[in-house]
Order: sequence, then C-alpha cells, then structure tokens
Amino acid sequence: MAEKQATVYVIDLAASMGQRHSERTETDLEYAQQYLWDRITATVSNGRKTDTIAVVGFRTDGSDNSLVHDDSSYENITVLSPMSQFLMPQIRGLQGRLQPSHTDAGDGISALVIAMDIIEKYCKKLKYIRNIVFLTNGTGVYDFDGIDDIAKQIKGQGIKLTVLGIDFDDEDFGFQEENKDSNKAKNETALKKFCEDCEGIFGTIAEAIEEIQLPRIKKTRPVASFKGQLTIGDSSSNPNSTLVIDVERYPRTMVAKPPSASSYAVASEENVEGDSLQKIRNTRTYQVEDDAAPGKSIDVGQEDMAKGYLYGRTIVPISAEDQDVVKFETIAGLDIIGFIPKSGFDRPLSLSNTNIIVASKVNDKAIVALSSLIHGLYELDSLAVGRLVTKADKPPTMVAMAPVIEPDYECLVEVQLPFAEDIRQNKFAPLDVVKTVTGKVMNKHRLLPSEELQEAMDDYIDSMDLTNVPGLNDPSLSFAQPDDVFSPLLHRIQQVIRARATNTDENRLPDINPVLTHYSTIPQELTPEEDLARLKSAADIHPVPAKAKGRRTGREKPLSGLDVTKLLEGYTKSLRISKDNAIPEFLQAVESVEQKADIESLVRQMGDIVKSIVKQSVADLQYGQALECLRVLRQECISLEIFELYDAFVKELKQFVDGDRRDFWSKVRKEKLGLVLPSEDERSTVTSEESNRFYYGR
Amino acid sequence: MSADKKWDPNPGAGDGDDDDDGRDETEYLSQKDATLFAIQISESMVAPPDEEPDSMDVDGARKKKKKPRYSNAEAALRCAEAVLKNRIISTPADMMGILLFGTEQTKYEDGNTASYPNCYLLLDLDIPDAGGIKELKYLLDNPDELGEVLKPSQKPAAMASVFFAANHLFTTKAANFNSRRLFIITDDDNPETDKKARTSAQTRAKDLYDLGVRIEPFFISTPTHEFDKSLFYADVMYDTGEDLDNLDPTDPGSSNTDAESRYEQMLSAITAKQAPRRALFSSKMEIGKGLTIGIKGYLLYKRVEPSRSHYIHERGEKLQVVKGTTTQMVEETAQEVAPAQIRKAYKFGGETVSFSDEEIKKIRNFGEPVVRILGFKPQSELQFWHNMRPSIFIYPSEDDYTGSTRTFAALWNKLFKSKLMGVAWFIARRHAAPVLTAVWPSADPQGLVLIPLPFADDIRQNPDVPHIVAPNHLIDRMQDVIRQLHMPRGYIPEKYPNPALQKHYKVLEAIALEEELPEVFEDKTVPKYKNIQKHAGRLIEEWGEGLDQSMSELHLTRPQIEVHGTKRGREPAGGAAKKVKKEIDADGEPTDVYNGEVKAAYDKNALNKLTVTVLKGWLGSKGMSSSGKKADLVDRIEEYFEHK
Repeated sequence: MAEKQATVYVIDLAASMGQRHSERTETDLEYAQQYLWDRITATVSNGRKTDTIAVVGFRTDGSDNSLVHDDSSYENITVLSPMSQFLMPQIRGLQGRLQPSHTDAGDGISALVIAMDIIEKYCKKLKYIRNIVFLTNGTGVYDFDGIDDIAKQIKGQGIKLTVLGIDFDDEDFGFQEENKDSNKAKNETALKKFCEDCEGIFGTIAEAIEEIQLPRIKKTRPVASFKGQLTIGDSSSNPNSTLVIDVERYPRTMVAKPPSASSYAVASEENVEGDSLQKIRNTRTYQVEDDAAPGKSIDVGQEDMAKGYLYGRTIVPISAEDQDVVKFETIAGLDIIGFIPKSGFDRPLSLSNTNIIVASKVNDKAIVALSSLIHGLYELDSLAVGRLVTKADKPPTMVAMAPVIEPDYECLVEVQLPFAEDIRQNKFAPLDVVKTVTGKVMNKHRLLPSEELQEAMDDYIDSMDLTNVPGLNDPSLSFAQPDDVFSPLLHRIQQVIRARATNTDENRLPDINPVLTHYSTIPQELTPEEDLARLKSAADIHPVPAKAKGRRTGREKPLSGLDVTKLLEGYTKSLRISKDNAIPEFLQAVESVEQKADIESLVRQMGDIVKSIVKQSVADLQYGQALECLRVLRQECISLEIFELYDAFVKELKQFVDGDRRDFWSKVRKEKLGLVLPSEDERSTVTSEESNRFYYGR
Repeated sequence: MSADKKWDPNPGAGDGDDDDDGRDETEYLSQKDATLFAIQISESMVAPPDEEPDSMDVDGARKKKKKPRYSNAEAALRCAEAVLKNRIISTPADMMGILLFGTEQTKYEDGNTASYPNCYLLLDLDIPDAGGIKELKYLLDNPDELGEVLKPSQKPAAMASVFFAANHLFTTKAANFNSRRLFIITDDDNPETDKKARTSAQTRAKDLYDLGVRIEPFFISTPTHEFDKSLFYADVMYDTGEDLDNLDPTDPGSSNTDAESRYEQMLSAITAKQAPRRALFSSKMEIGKGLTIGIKGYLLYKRVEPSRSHYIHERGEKLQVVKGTTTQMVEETAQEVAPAQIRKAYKFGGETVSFSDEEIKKIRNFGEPVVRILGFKPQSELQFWHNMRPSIFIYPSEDDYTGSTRTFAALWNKLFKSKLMGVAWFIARRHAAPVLTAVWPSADPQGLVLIPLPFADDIRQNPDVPHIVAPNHLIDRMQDVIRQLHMPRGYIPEKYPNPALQKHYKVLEAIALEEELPEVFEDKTVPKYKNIQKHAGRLIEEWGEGLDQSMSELHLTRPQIEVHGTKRGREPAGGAAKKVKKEIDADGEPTDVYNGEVKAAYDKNALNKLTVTVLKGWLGSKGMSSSGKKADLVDRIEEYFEHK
C-alpha cells in the first residue's frame, strides 16, 4: 500500500467540452470533473507525500509545456499543475483553470506524450506506480502517427493508462451514443485499439462515475499485534509434554474511525484571508484547594506533586519507584486453558473486536502444528479458551478462539472474554412468566403475549425472512453481509470534507450518498403488510401521552395498593413546603392542588428554597441539593405545561447568583437546567442561540 | 517532563484532537449510586446461630475449614463490608453508608440524636475511606465492642424515624445522585402495629419514593416463621419495574437452619444487587412500519480497569489530590481562547476544512435514535468474527408504549424457538453513529442482545501465510488432546477474576489500611498445568511425535524452531532462527558484504539477478528463513524492504 505513486490527469478543455450532451444538465467538462475531483480529493485525503499528482489540459487557449519550444505539434497543451503532492493551494489553483477554452485545436496524443514526459522526468528509474488518466470527449484532431511507438513506451515504462471518454460506446456497460459524429467514432476506435496495445483501460466515463458512487475502502496493511507462542501445558516443568507453536496475531475487525475534527480558534481580527483558523495549544496548570487563598485554590508546581491513587476517598501515595509494587508482572504468551463446546458459547461474552491467530509464516512446523489444532477444534465443534499476554508486563486477557477453514486459508479467530469483575449484576424478570408480589406465578397477564399475538408475531417474522434477499449495494452478496455495508458516518464525513474543500464558495452541504443509507429501512423485497396489520392489532400498543411521561409509573400507590395520597392529605392541604423535605413535599403538594394560583405559590416556594440553599451553602457543598430541587422544579413545570413559570424563575435565579455564587451558575449550565427548549415543550420559542446566550452570557 | 507523561490524569488533552465517538460511554458512567444499609438490631437479629449437630460426626468426613458462624446482624455487617470493598474497585465514585436501627445507643451526625432515637449511624453515607473501613474491621474483629454497639434497645426504633433518617442522609449527602437505594436487612415482618406509627411510616416511605429512593429489602425467614411481606412492607415499597424477589422463599437455601449458608446466601443476594441497574439508554424498537415499542439498553459486561493515578500534593500533614485545568491558547499569540471562539475543523490537503456546530450536527444526523428491525435471518449467519465491541442487552419498557413487554416477549419467543436473529439499523442516541446490529435472543437473562456488526471498512485483510494442511493422523492426535482438556460447562467468567486488577487493589488496600503487603497473589487465570499434564501430557507427547513424522512426510524443511523444550519467555519467538545466522557466520561468509549488494539490487528491482547463495546468506544474516525456491527468497527480501 505504501508504494510511491505518480498520476498525471490529462483533461480535454476544448470549447466543445462546454456543450451539453445526452440530456445532461451539466456540460461535458462539468461531467468529467465529477470523476476528476473525486479521484484527486481521494488522493489528497490520504495525506501521503509520496502520492503525487500532475494535471495537463489540452485544446487549451494557450500553450505551456516543456516541448512546445521545439515542436509546434505541442501547441494548445498546458501543464495546469506540475507533479507534486496535492494540497489545498494546488486544488484552488486548479479550480480556476478548468474552463472550456475558445478553441477545438490541439492534439490529444501530444498531450499524452507530455504526460509521459512528466512521469519520466519525475520518477526517473525509481520504483513508482505510474498512472495516466486521460479524459476526453473524443472530438477534434488526434494524430495517431507513431502511435505504436508510444504504446511500446507506455508499456516499457510500466505506465497504467486509463482512457475515459464522454459518451463513448461501451457494450459491456450498455451504452451507445445516438447519431455519433463520424470523426468521434473514428477517434474512439483508434483510442480503443491503442489502449489494448498498451494494456490500458478504455471505457466510457459514465461507468467510472457510477463506480465512484460506491465508497472506497481504505486498505490497511496487516500488522501483527502479538508474535509469540501458543502453548498447552507448562514447558518449564514438563518440556517433553508441552505443546508450543509459534503464532502471530493480526486484527480481523477493527473500527475504521471517521476522520476526527480538531479544535481551532477563530481569529479575532475580522479581515483574515483564507485559512482564518488558528492552532490551539493546551497548557495545563495544577491547583489544590486552599480555603485561605483568594479564589480558594493555589497553583502547584510540577516539582511539588507526587503520584498516587485513590482507595475510596483515601489518597494512597505511591512514588514512581514503588510503581512496581502495583504492577502485575507477566510473560508474553498465549496459554491454552481448555476447550469448550461451541454450542455452549454464550455470544454476549464476546467483548471486543476480533483478531486472527496464524502460525509464524516462516515456520512450516508451526503451520502444520496449528493446522492440526484448527482442524481438531473444527471436527469436535469446540472453541479454545486461552490467556493472552501480548507483551511482557501487559495485563492478561481471557480469549476464546474459533477455527476458520477456508479453501486456501486456515486460522483461529480470537475474541476477548470478560473477567469476573466485568460482570454487571443486572437482574431482569423473565419474559415468559409473571410473578406477583405474593410470589404467585401467572401464565396469563397483560405483560405476556396472548396466543393470538404470538401467532401473529410468528407469521410476521416468517414473512420478513431475509434469506433470499440480496445485498443492497452488491447483489452478489447476501443481505447485510458486512462486506456489503459501508460505515455511514465515516463516508459521510469524508464526503462533506471533500465537497467543502473543492467548493469553497458554496456553503450548502451535499446530499448524502444513498448507498450509505440503504440499510436504514426494510428492503423492498419484503412485503409483510398483511401480517403486520394483524400483528399490530394483536399487539395493541398505545403510546403513553407526552404529558404523562416524565411521571414515574406507579407513583401513587405502594405495592399493596394502599392509598397513601389520602394519608398525606393532612400535610398537603397546607400547601407549605419545608426545606428539609422539599422534594417529596413539593411533588405531593403539586399532585393535590387544583387552582393555578396554588401552583404558582408552590413554584415560588420551591424557588425560594433553591435560593436559600445556595445562599447558605458552605462553599459548594450544598449545591447538589439545590440543583436537585431545581431539576425537580423544572421537570414538574414542563410536565404541568407551566414552563413560563420556570423560565421566569431561572432568569431571576441567574441574577441572584451573579456575584459571589457565580460558580453555581456553571453547574446549572452543566446540568442543562436553563430555559425550557421547544423540544421539551413545543410552545417554547427559545432558540439554541438564545439558550446558549442565557447559559454563557452575563 | 516526558517521563511524567503517563501520569497525566488527562491523557490526550494536550493534542487538541477530540474523538467524537469517544464520549459514548463516559456519559453513562456519570450516573452515581448511593446505597445505605439499614440493618435492624433486635434480640433475634443478634442471637447466636442455633447450635446444630456437628456435621463432622454425622458425615464421618472432615470439614476442611470450619467457617465461623454469625448472628444475623453480624452476617449483615460482614456483607456490608464485602460490598464496600467490592464497590471501591468497581464503582469508586459511589457512596455507601451503614445505619443500624433498634440499638440501645443512639448515634447520628451533628449530634442530632433527638430526631432519630435508637438509630446508630455506623458509617456515614459517603464515598468510603480507609478510616471507615478500618473502624468497621476493628469492630468485626472485637466481639465485645461489637456486642456493645449491637445491643438492642428495649423498644424497637420507629420505622418512620428510620425512613426519615435515610431521607435526610440521601438529601444532604447524596444530592443529585440518579440512584439512591436503601437496603433494609431485617427479620421482622411487622415492625409497626400501632396505627398511628404505621401511617407515619407509610407517609415517610412515600417521601422516599418521591425522592427517588428505592427500598431494597433483604428479608430473613426462619424455619418456623416465613417472612410475610404483606404485613408491613408491601405498604412502603413501590413497583419500580424490577425483579422484587431477593431472599426467595422458594429457594431451598433460605429456610436452611445453617447460619453459615444463610450468611453466604445473604452475601450472594446482596452482591447481586450491589450495583444498581443502570440503563445505557431508553429508546424505541421499530418491529415493523408503524409498530413501535419502548426498550431500554443495558451492558451485561463492561471492562473494569484499574483506577487512574492522580497527582497528589502534600501540605503539612494533609494529602490533597491535585486538580488539573487546561487552558487553551492560540499557539502563535499565546492568547487565551474563549469557548465561543472554538471551531471544529478537519485537516485536509495541508489546511483545515471547518463546519459550524449546526452543520456538524446535521452531518452526524442519521435520524432519531431507534432499533429498526429490517428482517430476520437464521442465527447461523452470524459468524464468530462478526464482533466489534460488547453487545447491548435490551429489555422492554412500558414507560412510553403500553403493550411493549408482551410484544417484545412474543418477538423473543419466536426468535429463540426458531433459532433466528433480527438484523437492525441502530442509532443508540441522538447524533450517535448508526450501525447495523444482529438482534440475538438471549436465554439468560431473557431478552434480546444487539451485536454491532462490522462494516466493510472495519474488515482487515488476512496476512499471507503458506497454506499447509496437517495430515489426518496429526489431527486425530490433536483431537485426543482437546477431548482430555474439555470444559463442558463452557466459559464461566465468575471463575476468572482479573489478576492485574486484583493485585492493584490488594496493594492499595494494604497501604491504605496500613496492613502487610500480601506476598503471593493468587492468579486464577493461569492454566491448571498439573491437570493438563495429568490428563493430556502423554497425548501431547504423542502429538509431538506425530508432528515430526508429518514434517518428513510432507518434505518440509523449515523446522527452525524446536517445538519441544523451548523455554517459554526466555528465548524470543524467533530464537532458533538465530542459529541459522550462526551457522552461516561459521561458514566464514561475512554477511555484511551481502547487505549493500542486496539493497542495491532491491532498489533496481533486480533481486532476481543475484545468486541463490547471496540471497540465502542475506536472509540468514537477518534471521529470516532461507529455505524455499529462488522466487520465495526474492519475495521474502522484497517484503522485508517494503515493510522497513
């Protein structure tokens, strides 16, 4: 992959390229540029210095090339961009120059010779992948004299030539231009033969454009993450009865991350040209709390800091020299613990991406040895469980390994398993029975499917069988086979970056490539409508009204069904909220009130409590309590559809804490307890800018 | 300074790169839990365990270790201690406290004893510290003092005071925690018979409920008396959609007279509940067009890593954790950057391409969070290697759609019975990257599991390795080995504690509690070598002989490494290959001579023109295999330079 590469794009800029053909709304040149820019930006985004590009235009108004001085046949050919790594300046430079000229004069074959000259001078005899991509509409003059020599040279220099023509006929692709100009037909035939002679690619550009719609997958060279020994048994105590195989471990799956954005600062001065973003540097300073110091903290220098860990709240200092005490020493290796039945392997135990384990490729004995393990596992339908340490002193991980046998490849696939501490102790009630409070087991219940529902579900699932549905991007693959599904976010971000980079004047985001969202909806091949209708009526799902949401279920009554609200009446009637039991009393009072004025009073009381807690807080110790009251207040105001009352209060609160309690406001912002947004109550008209200004502004 | 780098509590903060997907899980982890143990103290709770016939005499077999027997109260305290230590490892930010009620002594913070008579706050609700653990340990090691603390009062404590004490602790100490739980350990199923006291307890319990405090009871039944929830506790507990049974009365262990097993049973019931159930997300599942149900996502497994190191600073006697703050400055001008000035940009072609926040949101927006089922496939289509990260367990929720549970159950039934799985388009949260997942029916716990599938972009190429298939006789011998080392119960994670994690915390614990450092650390992940030797030693030996035999059968000539007797860890994997080098050196061929020549030939793409001797000599000098045909040698050398 990392081979050096030099590519010359030769593009036809004749006046005739400014015309529109075959009912396209764009000119031929615009059409060809789709392909050109896709290829160029793909190269730019790999960021490699050794992947260079040159661009040559022909049938241009003027001439600018190294051969025109001596030979007039090189007229109307312009080197638009010399061979170099393509960066933004080259992109911008090229953009302005890709315009149809005012002439149709100029020889395409001469342009090709210029391209070959550029490659020869740049690559010399060094090891390069050499490409020439030639884009033309095939009209005008092509001087095919001496073309055989040129073909020989192209082959001799190892240049990969690609000729893509606009509206060229292509039987395989299934395109034939109506009423083709006879000169173009002649040129097409000659170019095709020429391509055959130098073992190049000849095609119609429509096909190439169709191909670039499929996202390109970046290939990564396999790099071993572990080279060591797979062992069964302990060779130090039983050297003769220990199995040892030299193995290597490579990734099988690894998340291809979308390009990541970095933070930049927008220049404060307005009139900065072009790249107005400035690099940011992070500096870290260190503080400890000190009640006596202004700002309640003092800076600490690196020299006054030691290292340590927290054991609960207790600080445990461990000096750098003592680090070894905590470190768990290990020896690199893959030790087999035992073998487990494949059928008993609980799939959720797989925690990681997968890797393959192969034998050391230079060791035939290891290859045969591992092959026997792979086949042994396969035939016994078993998996191996091992303890893997990829490098000395790295912590061990438990892994499961499954055999993979393909016609010409064998390996183990390995995945990481959880340790005891990794288990999340979650309890879930079974789905097939319901137990009541008294421990009675019920087989019929609103939480259990009725026979009718179960039957409808069975039929629906049968009608949604994907077994015979082909892949949506590549029909030769099966539906949703990983090779057929592209990472939507990865390619979307790449697409918009490239679009933005090449269309600096246009600020619209391009539409998403439909290939990326093919798998977001049920495939057309499935027609479950009838079964679905039956399932819907049997399931009888009802959305819980928005108003009732946010309210906890079973709020009113304990398990016994006791009417606690009635018991509470004595307290709630007074409509007074005490500070030391604020939240329950507020919620209970809100439940019982009927008049709006009473609610307003409750909101006011709760607000006063928030303010009083903040005011009396020792440093920030009671802030959590205040925030909790504020959160409950906000939630209730939203669900009671009186968010205006909350907005009014929170504005008042902002004023209240401005000054020596400003640190409280930053917590309000963090917890997003500011103005109520339209997503929370559709009557709200607050925009996200207004909301942010409220959070950050003074 | 660079040596200090690994200590930086905020690695990556320095390079200005943010990984947009990285925040996924930290968001969820900010959910904190506070658990208060409320242990009832009464004559029956502190009564010594019933004497029972010594099992040694009955069985005739000797018990290996006589485990101590505890009163119910002490057993509960020991459970609390175990949970305390566990939580320091798994959820270090969580709070815990222990409140005894019905004690003769009264102790409450701030000397505020009048409000909470006969309540004894043994461990204040807070993130645990060494002092608290030491005190608890001391008490458990000194029966006399423990007896003093656990002395029951004449009159039991009022449940209303217990609830209100808990309310006060949760409100002031664990404000704004999303999970607050009151563990009540008691054998008294009817603590308040007086109507007024009962009503008072019921309303105080409602307060707790409104405050979001869950009551998790651990009821102790005795052989003569089964705990009856309906007498009191059903009036103070609320349905929170979770499994309610703790000490299941149908469990044969629960009615066991043996105090030892009761302690163990209590411990397992409590540890099972030690971490609150935390949903990753609430979302909806689209089973078909217009058929939507509510679901919640959970993690069944999550890697626990050793705690991060911190910078600390010693001031006088006091140790403090140093807080780091990052200031962002413009690199050139060193001016501080305000948050509003920050713009996200991508590097492209040596410059930056930037988008506004709104645009970034739009780019990342692939629609609302959803699990949209696209259809169903046989489970066999999911390959072992189709895995990227821990899977997500989903369970129905009636919060947003009534009828979700029964519909989900019907879906689960069918997938489970017919060995099918769903394929779904899955967006976990707003602006999260969409993925395709398998929807897999899980048997225990019952529910569905989302297994994110790799994309074409995530699949790596296989490295080239010569394809040589082992002969059948060798495979047969390997099968014998596999059969002997078969673990029929599969992989049971509980049996393998993470040794690195255990050591980390054992050392910290020992230092924090000023105890001796343990000398040997148990590592249960090491293979049981003795068993392997006993059951398969001979078979492995036979397999080794078979391997040698295969090598000669297949006329293979690259056995550079002794398969037997290699000392693990002492010699690097390529160890034997070095021998080859020595041999060539011994031949008197100065290998350096080849070096320049081979490199030059490679550059000229003329490796083919070199003689086999030169190629072999060079390969030997690099410790690489020098066997094979000339073309193989050339390939190997090319590969070497390409990867250099």
